Amino acid sequence: MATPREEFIKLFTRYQRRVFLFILSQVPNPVDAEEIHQEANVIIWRKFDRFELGTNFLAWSCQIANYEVLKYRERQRRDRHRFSDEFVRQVASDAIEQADELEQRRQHLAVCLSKLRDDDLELIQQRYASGESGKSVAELIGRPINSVYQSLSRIRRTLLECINRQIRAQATP
Amino acid sequence: MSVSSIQHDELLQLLEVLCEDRLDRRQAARLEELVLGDQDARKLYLEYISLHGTLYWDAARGGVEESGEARDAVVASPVTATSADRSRRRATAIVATAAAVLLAAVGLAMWPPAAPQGSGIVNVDPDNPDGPDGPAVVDAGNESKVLVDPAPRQPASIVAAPGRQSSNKVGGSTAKAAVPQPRIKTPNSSATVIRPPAGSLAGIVGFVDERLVSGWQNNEIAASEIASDSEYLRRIYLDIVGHIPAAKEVIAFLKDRRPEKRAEVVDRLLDDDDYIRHSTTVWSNLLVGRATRREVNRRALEKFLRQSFARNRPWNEVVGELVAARGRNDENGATNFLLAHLNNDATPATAITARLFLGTQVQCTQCHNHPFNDSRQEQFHGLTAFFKSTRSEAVRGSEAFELSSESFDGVAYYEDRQGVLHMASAGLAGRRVDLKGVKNPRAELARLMTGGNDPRLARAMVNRTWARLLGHGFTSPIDDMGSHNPPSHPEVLDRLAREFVASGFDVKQLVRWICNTRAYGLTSRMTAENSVDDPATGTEPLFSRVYTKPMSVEQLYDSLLVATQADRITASDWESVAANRRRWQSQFVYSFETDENDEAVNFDGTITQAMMMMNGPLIREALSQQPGSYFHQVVHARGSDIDRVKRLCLSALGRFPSSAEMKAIGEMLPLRPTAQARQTPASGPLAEGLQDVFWAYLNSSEFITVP
Repeated sequence: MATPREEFIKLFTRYQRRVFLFILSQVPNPVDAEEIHQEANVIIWRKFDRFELGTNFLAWSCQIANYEVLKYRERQRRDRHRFSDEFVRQVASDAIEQADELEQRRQHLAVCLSKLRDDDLELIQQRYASGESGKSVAELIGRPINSVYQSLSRIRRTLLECINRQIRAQATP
Repeated sequence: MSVSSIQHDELLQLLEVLCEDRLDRRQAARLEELVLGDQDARKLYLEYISLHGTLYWDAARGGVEESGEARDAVVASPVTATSADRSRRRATAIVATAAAVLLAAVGLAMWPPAAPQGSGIVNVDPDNPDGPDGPAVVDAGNESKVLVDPAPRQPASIVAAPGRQSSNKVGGSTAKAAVPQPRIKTPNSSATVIRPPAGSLAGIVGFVDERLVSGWQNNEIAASEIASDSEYLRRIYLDIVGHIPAAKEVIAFLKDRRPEKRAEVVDRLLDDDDYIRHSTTVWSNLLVGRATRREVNRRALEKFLRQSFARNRPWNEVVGELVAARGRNDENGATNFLLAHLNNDATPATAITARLFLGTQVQCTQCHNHPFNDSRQEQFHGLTAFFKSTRSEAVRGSEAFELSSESFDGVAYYEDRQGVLHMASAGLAGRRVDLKGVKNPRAELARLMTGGNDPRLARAMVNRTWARLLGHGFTSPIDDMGSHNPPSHPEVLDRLAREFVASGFDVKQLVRWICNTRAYGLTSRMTAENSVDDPATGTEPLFSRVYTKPMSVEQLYDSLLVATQADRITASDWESVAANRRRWQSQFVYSFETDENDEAVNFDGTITQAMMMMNGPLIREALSQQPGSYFHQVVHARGSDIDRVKRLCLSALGRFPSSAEMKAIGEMLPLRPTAQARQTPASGPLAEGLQDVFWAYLNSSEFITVP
């Protein structure tokens, strides 16, 4: 029998990515989102003893994360906000509703990545490896920036459609 | 077409920009508006962001959790530069002209032309930062040809290589005046862009142009110049009516200075009888091949197609009839399509139906699941089930065959590679049908394919038509459009396919849209600025120029007749012209007896063909001085000898001779003083010389190329 602490660590680890995605939906820049995520993690740890095992860990952490997003937005100057408060609220509530669905999509992503053409896979790996941006990849491989952007868009679109297909295929066995 | 599908595209584009951290304020506001306004948009937003975030997360952490095989594959493969070999360029598409035409003494017509590398390259000044992002405003009410043109202008300093087509006076000077380019710049990029209504010619063409231009900008290339009038006219004639324009049509077009003449010629040719004839030829070759088969009544099939194209019947109707056809092949021409593909069992019929009409290659899923796409063995056999009860039988006491269908329980059995027997029930793309008691299962399939629920029918036709006109499809090969082979311009393909459906599968409209795009009006000559745009080397097409195509045998034959008027000597009526054409082309067609009825039309410049063209009876007739032939007319025309040379060139190549050609000809032929030439027809060595000139033009690679 795991101790509550071990149980908590397990949950904490399991839901890391999903909390990150939840934050990212409201602050769509991975670097900023990671920063907020770190701060949320500190709070989540700190409040470890307030969590009741058996209740919804994800919902609980997302609440904390949500609060950190708001704090981050307050720190930022208002005119630097990309999206309005209303937008952030709406997206956050939808993200929680769709959490399971999104998680399911993630599992199909692995299959879809394996179906990419070699050069497409390589490009998408380069783009995301250690937080590179499309711009730095373009410099790295010496292709025009915009053509790299274009390729990345195309590949992400291919992946999105592939995931949709996988979901549909599963729905109609 | 639904409004939300357009918004869907717009939102996707914004999300792509967002993920590369390039979203500006105006775009952010628009994205917010879309997302807040619609639940589906929110869903898409979250799906996209979560895809982006997952890629980021997994890549950063090396995919620690739930690492399946696919995951490992992603992490394991090493990073290598992919684009280093961009330098492999091949200047394939340059049409060799000029003095090369005068290979009179020795030359063989060869395809592709053995032009020296870069001989046709235009040197373009690279320093032209003129307005790269001002989106163009298009007048909403204007249905006539409007080109949205947000691309940088072509610079002024163009150094033309000697002897190129544009250096001839008429073609060159009218080219610039000829093309309408209303280009109204918006004062700043945040101004509202007025869009023409969806579904209008201007709206569709504008969208396509804008997407292609942005592709050129993204790849930092400049599109080729607008095609000269000569080049454009030759292309549009060959593409729409299947033969070159006659000399007098070329002259009329060159003389016409009105900007709308290009759009008008598209409309005129689409209403020409030869549009019907050419479309019939193209599709009967695709449907049953060129080779003769016992079971196929080609005349009846052609009659069916001719009537379909003459009435411009909706494409889904035509396909539905071909797929569901029953009866005698001399009475119902549509039956001949499937009759041509029943030589084994239902398999080839299934394969060609999926390939031609749905752009889907299923033949290898007969025995195993497709290694690269989502096609399953089960889906293949589910499709085959519709054809299982289809039979071909000779009708006693006649040469006719009958195509029949009877009811079928709708379940196909197959073995997988482990030898396990499975059953697949009839269905298409996940939609199943109960075939119990259905008299003609193929009618059910036709309904599924053409009822508007399967987007593949429209997409396959759009891709094929685009490729036929621009020289390359959005996918390569054009009939393999599965998810493993994503299109080069998904949004253009989507939009055209949606509009095609919305227009009621109007085939002529589809051709009209594509022919009015900016890309279709460009020259096929590549420049130093777009030499990377060369799909022949396996890169994705950018359509910054038109890619040349070799003529088909039918185009070649019909064009030879137009150029030489040889048919006026040998045959007077259309039927005998068609019979002559079939006889002539049979020399070029070799059929491979495979399941898929492959055949090769070797018109790629082999020695036999070259000899055939140079010395065959057709060319002999064409160069004879018999009354009725074009050559006879030229020899006897009142005019200078130089005029005679010009008329020969005009008739063969749709342009005036270049100065280099003229110079070479002047040195070879005993041209007479004008006054004398006007009085007496050419004869003796001069007539023979003119024959050589005409022969050389007809046997040039320029002649057998669709520019």
